[in-house]
Amino acid sequence: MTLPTISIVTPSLNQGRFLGGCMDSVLRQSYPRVEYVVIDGGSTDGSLEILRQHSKSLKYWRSAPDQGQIAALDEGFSKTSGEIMAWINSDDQYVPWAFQVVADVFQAFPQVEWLTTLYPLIMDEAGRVLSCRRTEGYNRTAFYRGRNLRREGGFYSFVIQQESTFWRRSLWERAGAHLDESLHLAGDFELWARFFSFADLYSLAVPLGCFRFQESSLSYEQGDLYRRECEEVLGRYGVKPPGRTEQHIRRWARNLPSRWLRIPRLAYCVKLVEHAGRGRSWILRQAWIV
Amino acid sequence: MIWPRISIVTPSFNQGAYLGSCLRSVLSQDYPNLDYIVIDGGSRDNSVEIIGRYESQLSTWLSEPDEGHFPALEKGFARASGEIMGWLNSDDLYLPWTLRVVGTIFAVLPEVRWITSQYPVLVDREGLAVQTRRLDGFNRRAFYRGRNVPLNPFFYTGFIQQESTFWRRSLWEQAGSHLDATLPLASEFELWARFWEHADLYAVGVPLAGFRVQPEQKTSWGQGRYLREAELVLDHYGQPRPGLLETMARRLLRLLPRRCWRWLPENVAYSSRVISATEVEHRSFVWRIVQEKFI
Repeated sequence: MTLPTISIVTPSLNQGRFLGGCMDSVLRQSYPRVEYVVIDGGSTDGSLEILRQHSKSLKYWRSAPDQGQIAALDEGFSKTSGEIMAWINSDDQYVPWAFQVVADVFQAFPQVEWLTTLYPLIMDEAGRVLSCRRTEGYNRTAFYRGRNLRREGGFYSFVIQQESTFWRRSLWERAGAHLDESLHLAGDFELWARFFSFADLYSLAVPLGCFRFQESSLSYEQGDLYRRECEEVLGRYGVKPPGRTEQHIRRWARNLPSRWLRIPRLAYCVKLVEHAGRGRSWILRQAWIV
Repeated sequence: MIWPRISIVTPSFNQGAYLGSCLRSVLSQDYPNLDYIVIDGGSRDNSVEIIGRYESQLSTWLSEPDEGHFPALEKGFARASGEIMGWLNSDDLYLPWTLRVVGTIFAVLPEVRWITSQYPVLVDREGLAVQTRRLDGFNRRAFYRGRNVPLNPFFYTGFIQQESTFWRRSLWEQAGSHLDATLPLASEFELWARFWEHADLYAVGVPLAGFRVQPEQKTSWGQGRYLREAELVLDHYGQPRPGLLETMARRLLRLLPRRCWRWLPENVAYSSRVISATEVEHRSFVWRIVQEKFI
């Protein structure tokens, strides 16, 4: 069986401090078939040096002022041809096993069209992992109702960690093969919303990527704008968030043991990918969340 | 912050297939104050050649016939100079951030004397992480009753993952600075039992190391013997192990909403200490100790 190529795009702008770590985390994966594109928006901080050093390992790179991160990503993806796609921002990192595991799962299960982790990691500016958490998994209806958008009300559980999410090119093409360039920040969230209308998101029981927490993080400083854009995206799908009574029922139901959670009209099904025990084989499993 | 000196010992014997990635996982961390010691038991494969390649980055290494795994470890620890200690078997792996996270935690939390990870990782033969899970925290009484060794499979929840466990030298010395040579397999378990006499184990909310699952492993062929040894260790401490009735009662109590658990008495809902980095005003992260309960 031939291994699928994994195409990764990094949009970069003045993150020279972290760019090297990010690129190493892509280029030092043990996986043999990686296609890496970096789109730099005209950095003035030493990023260019790092890019030049690595230029031999890159499929394509350029550095020039551009229309911002989302447009840069679209440009980057247009230069790729791999069957598996993802992007990583210039301050984030993959874990060393990410590509091999992701390729394995995509090869083992044709029905898996996009994939993220159950265990998102957050690291600090010095590259120390600060936090790991066990998320509950992801579901289409729950997503459209705001499960993965940080807002008040108690329905939110966790975001879909962008740096840990991978998809098949076929899904990308069915979803229009582009990001929404009318948005400034929430390009990932909007893409997930479109992906969900075609396929379920599976989550894998190993960490895949680390989000770097820094005080000047783009989506952090501008968290408010990000949230407003996400609200706007959810608005396009016209699904209502749970009301107060429903919230109370859900909060109560969350106390139940997980195997009793399969309550009709209340529970959402999440799809998980787990290790089968021996060797490198995987199994698909369903679980229920309320 | 001053990085505390961390001493890591790797005992090795004919594991040339994995030894290189083990050594790289330690040395590629660029931890600024590392004391890395490799004790080889006179391997006849390419182990010595692999160790030689990294010689300049090791504090000490030697290769000579020895009496086995745990005596080799003792030999290594006797040569260690660090304030923080741990060991990594030649087929296991640290994660890229392990030593810096461990160093930071011991530097900022002086009351913590030994730690382990709440998210043990399993890696396959090729070194790929294939599984993670979140464990309950740890508790002294629960440990002595068999929570961390599968004697009673309904009470047991998870091992203390050896490669994710680190301790201060002061604790090692207080516990006698030795491993129990009379236990060929469960020496580490016996060490934890001694550590528990002196200090609580803190669970860190970050994965720290990968245990390699492989068929020829000592611990899998010796599973039955390991359990018997562990049982001997627990017998020595004489805490009653939960019977069938108690196990059933615990399963029922777990159905209670989590926020009610804190009203249960300490010998029903055990308290554990977890170290996690919590966000402060959306601005920064601080390592904090939180108390959790498990039944």
